[in-house]
Amino acid sequence: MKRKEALFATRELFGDTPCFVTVGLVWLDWGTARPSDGNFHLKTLGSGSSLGLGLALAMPHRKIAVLDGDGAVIMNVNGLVTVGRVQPRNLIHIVFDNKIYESSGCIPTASAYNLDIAELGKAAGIKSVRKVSDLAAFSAAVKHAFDTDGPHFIVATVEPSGEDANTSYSRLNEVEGKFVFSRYLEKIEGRKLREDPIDVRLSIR
Amino acid sequence: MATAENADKIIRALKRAGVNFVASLPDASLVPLVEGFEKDNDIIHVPLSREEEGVGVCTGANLGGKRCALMMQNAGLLNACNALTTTARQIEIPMLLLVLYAGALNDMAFPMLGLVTEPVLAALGIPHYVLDNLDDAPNLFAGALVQAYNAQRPVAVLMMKGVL
Repeated sequence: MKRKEALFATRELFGDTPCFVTVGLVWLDWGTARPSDGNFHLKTLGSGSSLGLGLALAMPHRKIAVLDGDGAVIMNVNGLVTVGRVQPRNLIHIVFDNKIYESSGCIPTASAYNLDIAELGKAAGIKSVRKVSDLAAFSAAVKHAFDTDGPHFIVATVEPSGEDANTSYSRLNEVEGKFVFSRYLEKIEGRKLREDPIDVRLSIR
Repeated sequence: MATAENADKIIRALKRAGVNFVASLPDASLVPLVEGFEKDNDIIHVPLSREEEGVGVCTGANLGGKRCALMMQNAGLLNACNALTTTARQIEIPMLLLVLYAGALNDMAFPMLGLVTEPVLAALGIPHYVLDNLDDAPNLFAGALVQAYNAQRPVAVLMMKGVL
């Protein structure tokens, strides 16, 4: 299974779900499959589970998705530990495991050797963990994640894309990306979320 | 010895400043505060396993409209440096860093940590203030949060062990 075909096969299940997307080609792939202001480009490798948890707790009524990679998730195994402890019912964390650091030179990750990333999620106690390697099982896992309470942790074995990851850094400004995502959240929530400095000042009595 | 009374004053000061989301790791001196956050119905508390993830958790919550604090010892501040730089500073996310100042004036623990803490914060471009008198907590937390939102970055309050 290729990551891009997995994303195209499931994109409609995501609806307007806010998505945190890890660095590298998955950002380009997802931006092609579901172009949306609701896609947030992560900067710190491995931070997806953490930002996802924070937003999931701030918006417990709404599904929040994280599109992650194997290199990223093993850089912040702590994020899985905390998700397993807190058990946010609305968090969907999907890891595309291509077993290499595709965006930084294609060197193998630990999952190319003895590591089973899905077992990390199970060991952390995350409620729903699935390990899939074909399109039908991936689509079923994503549908299950949107239909039921989680947290959900889906580890999808994929082939390396063979594309050039450097192109994924074009057309990005992090601060603008924050405002775009923030306004998107305000639109789908129908309420103000972002606090201006004056809001903060005036709120303190 | 940290007391529940002092922790209660600090939590009231944080709530007065509008903090409604706290991610934390414990230190012996922070135990009454961690217990206080766990019990408090007005604050969402996330117990972390490493401080760096706390920067991400607070960033996600901030995007969802929460006013966030990340509480940790200064060893944890060093653990969090990459995320503070590449997420909080790069993306411009305001948050309060509540840092137990180990190895500082009159403290026998971790002398090297005490030495590097303020230079590291300065290098990260994170303003920092020392809380050495509990009566200053309300104004310091409120002022630090106003600065954090105004300058769009984390602001740190270094808590001396004596105030806990």
